[in-house]
Amino acid sequence: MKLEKKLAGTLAVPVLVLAVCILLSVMKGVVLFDSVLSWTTFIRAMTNIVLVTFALSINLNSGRFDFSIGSVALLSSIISAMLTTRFGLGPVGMLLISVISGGVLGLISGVIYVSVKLPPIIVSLAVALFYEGMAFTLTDGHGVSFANNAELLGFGTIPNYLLIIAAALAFMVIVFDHTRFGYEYKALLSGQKVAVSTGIREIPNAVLCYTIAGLLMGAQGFVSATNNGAITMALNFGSISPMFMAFLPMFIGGFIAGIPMKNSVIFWEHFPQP
Amino acid sequence: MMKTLKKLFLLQLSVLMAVCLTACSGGKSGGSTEDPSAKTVKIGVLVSDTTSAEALAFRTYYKDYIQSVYNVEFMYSDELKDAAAEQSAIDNFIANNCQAIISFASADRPAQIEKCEAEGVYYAVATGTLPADQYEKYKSYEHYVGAIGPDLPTEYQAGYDMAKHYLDAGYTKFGLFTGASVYFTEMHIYRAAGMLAAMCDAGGGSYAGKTGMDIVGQIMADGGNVNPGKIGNIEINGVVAGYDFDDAWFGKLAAVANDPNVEVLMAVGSGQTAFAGFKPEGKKLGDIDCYTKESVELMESGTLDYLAGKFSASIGPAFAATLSAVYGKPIRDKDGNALALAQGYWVATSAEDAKKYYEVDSSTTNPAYTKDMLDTLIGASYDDFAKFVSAYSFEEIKK
Repeated sequence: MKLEKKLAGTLAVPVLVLAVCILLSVMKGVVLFDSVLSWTTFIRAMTNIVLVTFALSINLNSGRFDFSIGSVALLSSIISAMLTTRFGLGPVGMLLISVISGGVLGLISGVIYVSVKLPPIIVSLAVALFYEGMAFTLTDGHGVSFANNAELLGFGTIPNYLLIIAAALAFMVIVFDHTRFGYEYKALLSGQKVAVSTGIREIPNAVLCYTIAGLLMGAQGFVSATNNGAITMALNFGSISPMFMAFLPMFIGGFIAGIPMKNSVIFWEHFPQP
Repeated sequence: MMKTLKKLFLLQLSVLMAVCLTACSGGKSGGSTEDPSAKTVKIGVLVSDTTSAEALAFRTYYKDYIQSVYNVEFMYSDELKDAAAEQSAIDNFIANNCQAIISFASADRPAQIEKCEAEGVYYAVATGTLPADQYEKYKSYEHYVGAIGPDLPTEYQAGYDMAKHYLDAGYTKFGLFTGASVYFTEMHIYRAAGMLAAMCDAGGGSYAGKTGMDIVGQIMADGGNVNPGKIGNIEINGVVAGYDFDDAWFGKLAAVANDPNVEVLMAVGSGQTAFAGFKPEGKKLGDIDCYTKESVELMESGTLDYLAGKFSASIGPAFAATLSAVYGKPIRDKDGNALALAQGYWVATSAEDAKKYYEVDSSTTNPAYTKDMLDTLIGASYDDFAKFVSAYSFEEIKK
């Protein structure tokens, strides 16, 4: 397929959405991006969506519906914020603690799933409640506030958000396209029975999937927390909602990802040719 | 042999019945002299919020202080989201032998009151008061204890006083967070209306042609929204409402907080969550909420400079009235009507004030309303009770 066809197919949906947004803004008499703050808000939203979508898709593509990712973000950000404020660490320290905590919480979630052998929806709901309860207990229900900490709040800049997106993208490409785990993950996706019969161990692979999703949600928890300097509590599945913002982007992303191979041809055929 | 055994069995049965009857009659006849506080009173608490700082402070006061000094046991509901959940929670309390219910949930107060009346369970509203029409209907219900807390005129005044504080200091450009006004939460609408009314008085103009309490109706008519604009020479240059907690919502808050045409940010509640993280140095922030460790820190750093806060022990009188009713000494006015008493806020305009209030408010050994103080309310007359509640300022309580 020619490069211009691939590019057109890949950019078609984003450009179309942008055009609709500009049209609506003109009709309402407002400017779509009228300040640096508008751009910051947009890029931050994009960072959150990218991280949650990556995390959600890892398990969802394998048929595992994971409702606990929001609670992983909540608890990891609580842990990192508490340690950061207690020991006077900076944003890099908080990010690292949040990512590591998220990974550990994801690992625990994965181990519980493969141990109890219940449907992933049930397990993830239980884990979500457990992590929400832990976050509530750790903070006596008050959450964590660091609205006075200019250093941590200062992290929320466009370059930093773009850096996180780039790092997450590179991490995903390396892990899923250039490691043995990634090859085994794809083999299991295409046919678990055949893959297992060739010697691929699906249980460690599943646990690692949960761990990677946890790492990404740890980063997402950090981005959310450093936005306004306050982490408020969520109980009774209140942490689940962030995952729903990832569904549409995930399916649109999946469509765009397939364009260079197949969908762009269909799109291109219906596109007015010069 | 069998006959003897039968006789013995019948004799034993007779003795057992006699003992049982004596025990029952003894309990009844001794009722007038028995100390009612000897028996643990179970009280159900309906809550619609389990995570806000205010809700946690109230819970701490009941569970960590009141429960430790009175022979009572509080049973809390889950976070109740609607009227059906409230009814289900009341059923659960009744099944667990709760003798009274104190409510912090308001999805359907009339239904709560009707159910408690039908089930013979005492019922009190802990923070806030009933609307006038509802009070008229339920004031004579035997099991309706009453409502004690900030009434709507008090909420209006809290908003008015906060805005006046900044207007008197010469500020003219405002950004507002009106919280749950868009969900038609009256408390937030009245606070917002109070702010706008103060601007009308100071700016010599009107808000959409309305002034004073009439602004409440205008906000209601606008779907709970407050619109930016000019009131005389006072400018409202940005308004955010709702509790979406998504990126767009945070973006709007950041935009208002950083607007160069905004000098003062005022919030009807949760201002510390909404604005504190975005506010540049030099801008003022006022909030109506409660006293927490974080709010004291924000006042010390200058991020927050005005806080009208409910104090956690403010729910003490509602408890005392409920316990008094359970003990058979309901507090009623001369016409036999239930309590309807308003309380106000503690206002801090300096870090020292906030620190002083927080130290008392967060104490689980010597809170604002101690057992000795509440004991004076059990079996008190309506007038004495009302006098106690009306002296709610920090200075009056700690005198």
